[in-house]
Formats: sequence, structure tokens, C-alpha cells
Amino acid sequence: MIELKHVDKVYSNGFKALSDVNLKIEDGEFVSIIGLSGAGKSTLVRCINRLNDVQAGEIIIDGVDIATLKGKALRVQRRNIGMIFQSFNLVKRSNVITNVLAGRVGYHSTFETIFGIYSKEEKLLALQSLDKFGILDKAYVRANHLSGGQQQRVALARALTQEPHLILADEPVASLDPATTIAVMNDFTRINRMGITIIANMHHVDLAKKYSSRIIGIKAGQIVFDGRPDEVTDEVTMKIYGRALNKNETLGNIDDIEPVTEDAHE
Amino acid sequence: MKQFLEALKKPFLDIHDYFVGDTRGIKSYADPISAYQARPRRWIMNLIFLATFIGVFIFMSWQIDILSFGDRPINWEYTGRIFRTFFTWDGDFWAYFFGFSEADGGWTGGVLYNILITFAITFIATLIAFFIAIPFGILASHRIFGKWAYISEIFLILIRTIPEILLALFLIRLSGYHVLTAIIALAFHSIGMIGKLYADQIDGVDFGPMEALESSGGNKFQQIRYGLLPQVMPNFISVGLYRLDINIRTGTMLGLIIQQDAGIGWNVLLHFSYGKYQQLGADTLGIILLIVLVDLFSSFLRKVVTK
Repeated sequence: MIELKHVDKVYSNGFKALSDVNLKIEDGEFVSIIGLSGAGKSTLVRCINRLNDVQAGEIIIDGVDIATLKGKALRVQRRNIGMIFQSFNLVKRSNVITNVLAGRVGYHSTFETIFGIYSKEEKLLALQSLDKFGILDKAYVRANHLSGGQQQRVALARALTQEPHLILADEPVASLDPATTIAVMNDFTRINRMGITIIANMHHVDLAKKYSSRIIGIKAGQIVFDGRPDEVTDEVTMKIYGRALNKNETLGNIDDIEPVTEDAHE
Repeated sequence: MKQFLEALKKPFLDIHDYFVGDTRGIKSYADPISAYQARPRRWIMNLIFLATFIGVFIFMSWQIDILSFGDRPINWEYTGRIFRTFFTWDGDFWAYFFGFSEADGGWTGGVLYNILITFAITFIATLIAFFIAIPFGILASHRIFGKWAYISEIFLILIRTIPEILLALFLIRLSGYHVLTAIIALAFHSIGMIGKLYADQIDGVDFGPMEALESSGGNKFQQIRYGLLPQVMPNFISVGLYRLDINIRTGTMLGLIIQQDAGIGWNVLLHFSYGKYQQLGADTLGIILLIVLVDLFSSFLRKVVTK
């Protein structure tokens, strides 16, 4: 269970990104965070694993207040939290399996990491993760030879290899085309069904409504909506975005989009 | 014929796949276990490389007879005496440093004057190279000029093959023992180095603005002037400042061979030859101060322009 209590975040330039955020997320939820650019979506997600420090408040994950942790204790907590980025953040020159095994570094000492030694079990775990997303055949290919959708799946496999309780996703599909977007979102749903909590930033409101079990609307660093997807009405989006939805904040008719499994140019 | 070639290539590809893995992604694995069994043995390859490096290291060390160094006895007493003189920062030391010591040639023989000369030589040489290298750097950009870029690129390679010190030695026979000789030698070599770095900077830049100018009827020069230079100028200045850092170090060396009036290097050679170790200490302090100041100045300026 994740609990945020009175979380404040002020950037060094004085910009108040989050003010008095209170939040309670149960295990196994699929939470989408929506809001305008600059509203504090990314900041909120990045505060949960302390990629951003917070100035005040508590962030309690499975009973541990992560907001005050430092050094090793923080890293031990972090290895239970996977993270997915908009631009994948893979090492493009390394092969896929090396990228996926990078999810295990939290379980190793610095000395072991120097020589890049992973156990057979870990290698098998990494390959199983790749298999779950249908990219096992690409295990020994360099990451930059893969398409965007495949790279995001490698990132998903990397997060899954951490054996996390929670996966954070910062705009995971913002740089993918609609068909790949649907495929990757389906992958997220599958991860969620394994019992892993997911907290994702979403740019497209209709994607958030279709895939998540709970939606949080954020505006100027404050939570202005928290509820089920079917409660997100035009009135609610009016409150979050300050206006009716633009065309570019929806993907169109999602159910008409055929998800791709193999990318066309491969 | 094609099949024959394929058969010829196969053992090499098998070796590649064994050591580096199926980087082309053409194999497919039934399950994670079989994928695990097909994993590349990179550590064997790394071990072979490591063994080769160690072998080469040992062979070369043996060939150039590194260990014979131990045959020469070290005179600790003598070394210690030099060391103490080197760091005797008394009145004589500072008098020579600031150019008040008539025995050491007065103001023009002092450290302060000579490091200023060294700075002037390197600054002028770098500034000349900074501007002359711009057209050559642009001409050497493969993304703008395609295969024509080879002409300028090869030219730049040729002029940077000769080390500055060697070039200065040759130039002494042309222009004599004069500061200008040092400036030409430094600038010439710098053009080759800076030009190459300019071309690299250009090739890493966004070509969209140039395309926009092309689409509105601009010629190549106009595209470069308005679409490219504003983008790369901060990078160029950064490259120039980096070169200044390097040239200031080489510039002190040039004084060694250009002799009088060519900066601090000559003082160093003179005092080393005549065993004047206190003055040598002052020279060294001057050189260190100069390099530190120039480094601080250039990194400050680099931050300002690339912000």
C-alpha cells in the first residue's frame, strides 16, 4: 500500500510543483494521473521513488516512510519499485539482455557489478521477462536496432526483472504511434493482473479511462479529482484542464485501433 | 555461387554468434531455457583480449628495456638539495619572479614578464586559428558538402600531422628566432585540430533551420550564415577555448626552442642547464599560475557562452 501524506515539493527556482498532496493507493490498483503539462504529474510520480526529493510530508510504501531514507536503505526500497520512462532510457549500445539485467543491480554489491556477473537464475528471470512480452528472440540484439514499441517492452521487461511490487510510468506511451500504444497498454494491463500496482502519467484521457482502475486529476500541484474512470465526465475534465478536451488529448476511438504485435518495419 | 558464399561465411558467423551473440536477431528461441543456452560467451572473448594486451605490454616493456632503470643509482642527497633550493621562496625568489633582479635580466628576464609573453603568443595564435578554421571546418562537414568535404578534411589532417615543436624548428630556418615563428607554428597546427572539431560539431547539429532557408530560396552561403552559424557559434567558441587551454601548455614548450623573447620556456631551459634551481622553481610556479588562471577563465567563459 502506498500512502502520501501532506507532500510538498518546491524546486530550487522557487516553483511549487506539489502542495499538500494526500493519496492512498491500495495494492493491485492501476492508477492513471492526468493533467496539463507542468501541473505536476511527472513530479508526483518521480517523488514516489524519490528521483525528486520532497520538502515536506511522508511517502509510506509498504509501511516504510521513503521520504526520509538515505543511501543504502533508500536503494533497497527503490529496487521494489520499477520505473518506465517516456524515452525508454535504455543503454542503446548494449544488447537487450544486458539492459534487462540492469534491473537486478539493486540486488548486487558494487564489486559484483564491476565484472557484470549475474547468476544463472537472474539470467533466466530476465529471459522469462522478455518472453512475457514476446521479444525473447531479440535477447542478444543491440537495443538501438529495435523499434520504439519493442524498446518500451525491453524497458518493461527490465522493470519486471526487478521483481517489483509497484511500477511507476512517466508518460510511457507518449512517444509511440497509436497502434503500438495500444499494444504497450495491453502489456501494462497484463503486468497489473500479475498483482503489481501501476501508477502512470497519461497524456491521453481516453487511454487513462479505458485502461486504469482509478484516475487522479492534478492541477497546479494539487489533486482536484480522484475517482473511477466512469466518473470522469466533461465537467471533471473541465476542472482538470480548465477547458473542454482538445482533440490531441484523446486518441480517437480506441476500440477501432488494432494493436500491433510485430512492428511493421521489422 | 551464392550458396557457396553463404557456406563460406557460415563458420565466421557461427564464431561471431558464439562470442558476441545473435546481434542480427535472426534466430528464434522456443523458451527461455534454450535462449539461455544460446547466450554469448563474451567473457571468453574478453579474456582473450585481456591476455593479448598483457602479452603485448610485457613484450614491449622487455624490448625497450624498462627494468634497466634500476641499474642507475638514485642520488637522494643531491635530489633533496635541488628540491630544497626549488622551494626556497625568499626575497631573491620573489625579486626574480616580479622582475626586480638585475642579475637575472631585470623586468624582461623575470617570470611575470615572460608568462605574459607566453600568454600573448598563445592567445594571438589561438585567435588566428579560431577564425581561419571556420571556413575549413564548414567545408569539411560531410553533412553539408558530401564527398567534397574530403578535400578540406584531408587538408586539415595534413596540417595537423606535424607537431608544433617540429614545425617551429623548421620555421626557425625561415623566419628566425622570433615570436612570430612560435605564433605561426601554434596557429598552423591549431587550425588542423580546431577545424576537425568544428566539422564534428556541425555534423551533430539540427539541419532543420538550414532546410527552412533552402525552401525559401536561400543559397548555400545564406543557409550557413543564417541557419547554421548561429547554432554552432557557442560550440565553436567552446572548442576555441579548449584549444587555448591546450595551446597554453604547448606555448610554454615553444619558448624552449625559440629562445629569447618567446616566453617562459627559454627561462626554464636556461635555468635547468646552469643548475639555477631556485629560478627554475619560480619559473615553474609562474607556469602553474598561468595555466590555472587560463583554465579558470576559459571554463567560466565556456559556461557563459554555451548556456
